[in-house]
Amino acid sequence: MTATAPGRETDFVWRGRFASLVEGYDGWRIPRIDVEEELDRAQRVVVVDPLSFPWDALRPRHERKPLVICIDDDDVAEVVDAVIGAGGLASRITPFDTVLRDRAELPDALAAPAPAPFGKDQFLVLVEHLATELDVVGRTFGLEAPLVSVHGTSTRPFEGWLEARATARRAEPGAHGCAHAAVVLLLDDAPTETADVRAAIDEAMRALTPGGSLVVVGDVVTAPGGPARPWLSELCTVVDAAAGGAVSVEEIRAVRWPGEILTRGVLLRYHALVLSDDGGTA
Amino acid sequence: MRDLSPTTDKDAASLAMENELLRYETLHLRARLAGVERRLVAANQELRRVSAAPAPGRATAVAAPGPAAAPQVDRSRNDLVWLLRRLDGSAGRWVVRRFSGFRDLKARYLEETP
Repeated sequence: MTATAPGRETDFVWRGRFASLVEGYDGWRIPRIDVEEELDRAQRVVVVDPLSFPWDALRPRHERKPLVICIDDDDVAEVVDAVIGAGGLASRITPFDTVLRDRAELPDALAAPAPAPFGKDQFLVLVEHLATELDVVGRTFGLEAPLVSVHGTSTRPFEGWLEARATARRAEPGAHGCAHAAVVLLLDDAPTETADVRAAIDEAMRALTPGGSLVVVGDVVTAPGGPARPWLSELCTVVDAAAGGAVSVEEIRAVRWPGEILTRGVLLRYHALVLSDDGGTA
Repeated sequence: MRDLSPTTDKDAASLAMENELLRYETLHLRARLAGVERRLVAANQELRRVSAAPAPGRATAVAAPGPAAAPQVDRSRNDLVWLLRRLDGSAGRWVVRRFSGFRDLKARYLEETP
């Protein structure tokens, strides 16, 4: 069932109906517990035949492993969605996973380097935190799905994650001005100077409307010898100055990234105050 | 055992940054907890105020002694029974039996009490 070729030795490869090429394969006799053990040991999961793959053996602890899946037919995708259940295949696919529409592309896909440096496990942690915050924003304003625009990152691929993991609607670029919308600012992975942080926050503030929410995520604790990061106090000062003091802090949460010993991120959620006619805030 | 104490300036800087992060988070959580506690106290005061107010159109009933007063009532009753027995068994019993109040108390407590 598992094979080293054509991927790496650390890959778990499920060939299913396409196993005739593997000598001695008899997938139907292998107990399910062995599949879980193999998945535990693997660093990447490759599903060549999604119809026969035991999806219930893919536990939540395996979600952090990059997934390569071959779906060459829309009917196959529908069947897989029905087997997986709520959310379907889209709930398991992240930008760190690969969906192939042609099985012939498999060797090239497996030979490609992993989409590091920001790993899938860290991505899932970040998405989980953001989904929680957007859920709070939605409940605060009585919205089923707040309008969200994402700013500030070029290295963290977030295309499609809103639809897959969070109850939110992604705002089209430039379509701002919606009250009670949320603006998510992801500070860059690269070494960040305070001036860069200020520029990114200024850009996000332009998309934020009074009454809306601003979520800022970034690293504020660097490991010894690591790249320079802004201190949390600096970050708070910059946000407050960019907003002219018209924001209130709703959430401060330390975020620990999986696999990182000392590097810490922070999630800040601000509420943009509405200035009343008499100069007060509401 | 590995020495966990910071040995370099970079270690100290990282720990200082983490310390600031945790301090901000702790202060935020404490402020949020204080806000929840203030709302809880206000809700309890409002609940007591609503419970204490008489219902409109209903006469105020005399409050019966609550469960906390029961031991004191029993003790007072026992003292009264003891006193009545002492008087009824004393040399002056022929005098006190002439008072109607003593006869009422004796009928009410001594004849009902085994």
